[in-house]
Amino acid sequence: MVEYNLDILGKVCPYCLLAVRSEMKKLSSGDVLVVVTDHPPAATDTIPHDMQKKGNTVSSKKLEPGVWEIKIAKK
Amino acid sequence: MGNKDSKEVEITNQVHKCIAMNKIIFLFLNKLNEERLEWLNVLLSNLIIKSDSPQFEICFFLSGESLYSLLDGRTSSIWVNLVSNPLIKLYVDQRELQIMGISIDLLKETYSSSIFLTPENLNLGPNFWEILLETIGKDQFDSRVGIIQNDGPYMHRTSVYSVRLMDAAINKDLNTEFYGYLDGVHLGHKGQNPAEFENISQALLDIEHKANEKKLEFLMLSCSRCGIARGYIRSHLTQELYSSDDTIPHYYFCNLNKIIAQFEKQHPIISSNSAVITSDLHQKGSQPSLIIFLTHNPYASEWTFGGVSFAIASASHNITTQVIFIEDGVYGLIGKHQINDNDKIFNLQDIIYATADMENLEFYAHIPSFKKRNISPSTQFNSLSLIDNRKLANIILKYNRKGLYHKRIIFF
Repeated sequence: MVEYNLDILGKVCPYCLLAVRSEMKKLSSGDVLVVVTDHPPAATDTIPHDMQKKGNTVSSKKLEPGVWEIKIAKK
Repeated sequence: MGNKDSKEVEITNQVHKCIAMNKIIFLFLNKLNEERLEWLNVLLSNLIIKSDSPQFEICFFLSGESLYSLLDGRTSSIWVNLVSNPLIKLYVDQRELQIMGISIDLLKETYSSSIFLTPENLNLGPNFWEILLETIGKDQFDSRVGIIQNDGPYMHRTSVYSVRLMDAAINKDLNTEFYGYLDGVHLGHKGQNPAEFENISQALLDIEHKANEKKLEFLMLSCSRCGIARGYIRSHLTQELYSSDDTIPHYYFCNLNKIIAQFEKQHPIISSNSAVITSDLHQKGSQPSLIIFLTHNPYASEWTFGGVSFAIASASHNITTQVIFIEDGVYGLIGKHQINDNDKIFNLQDIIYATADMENLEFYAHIPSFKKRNISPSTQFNSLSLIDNRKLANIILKYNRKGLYHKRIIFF
């Protein structure tokens, strides 16, 4: 298992989702992508929803007000 | 000649049998060039002659720049071909014809049963926009209509047409939703004071006032990504609806997802170049699908990124979404785009690659558009289907998952 980081602070949709999707394509099964975002719809809806639909395991936490960390383990 | 006669008989029979269960209503306000009319002509011929297809009534509503296509030597003969088909009706904004000094008397005289000039005098009956709404059909509305505006005010007269349409919607007692996208977010900029043109932000306020008087909803939502880029939102956006200091009251910015959430409802959504497909079989609770035509080259303007972003947001909301690269849109699919971070531009081909396996999202490319430009698509896109006009007709006709026809078509 390898952990990768993706910083998309300051970016908004649809870039956030596209960036995550692009990075996830490079990962192998079991690898984890750690995404940091300050775009609320991406953090709370778009990214988790899309990644879960693809069968990945998603967890997220608030690092500070307005900033989220999303961990996505590739299926 | 024999073939032509038999086709005419076939069409005539269809008209007698047909109770126009389905309607395709096109609205064109920008320039209509030869290429678009050519493929529309072939496409509609494919729709009409398909023996197993449901019966369609096809209506074109033309105002603004598109009116020049009626007399332009490159396009007028295509219109003659179109309106000679009894299933096709053409509604022309007579007031705009007069402004432009265009006469289509000869065409109107020859095809009087297919061409309708809307009253130039508002006292003489419903105006062009009210007739458009009436033609879509009261049953389709769910008491609501949405209007997407992609152009800014003054540079493009489409903003005038949008406010006319919204005014007509309020006159028809419809709750009305304005969606500002791309440069369309500028419509709500406060302090507009044009010396020679209709004041667009004041028109929005007047429409809101009229809606309030009639106890109708009038919602003004604009895309926050577009608003941030254009300087309307200068602080970190945390709330769902953001009211900018630079816009008129009740003009809100929100994430595109919130605008797309409105697309989950059933009301017709119209933009300056768009189509609505409706059906008498339309069932309450069904979700209309979305077809997006990408007609511009990828990087010279925001049209392609705007259209693709819209499609991705739509598919994310579980709306069946089909993106069709057509006309200059096919330039986005040639070669391999080599873009680095310093270019500060999105890579269209990366987006297609990243969303290739996205549920509810399909990409198509129009073969005749490639041929016309003597170019070929890159072979790197596994998720892209190449389609001819017949397949394009099938996509437009295709049932959605619930077996219904209601679709929205937007040209970007």
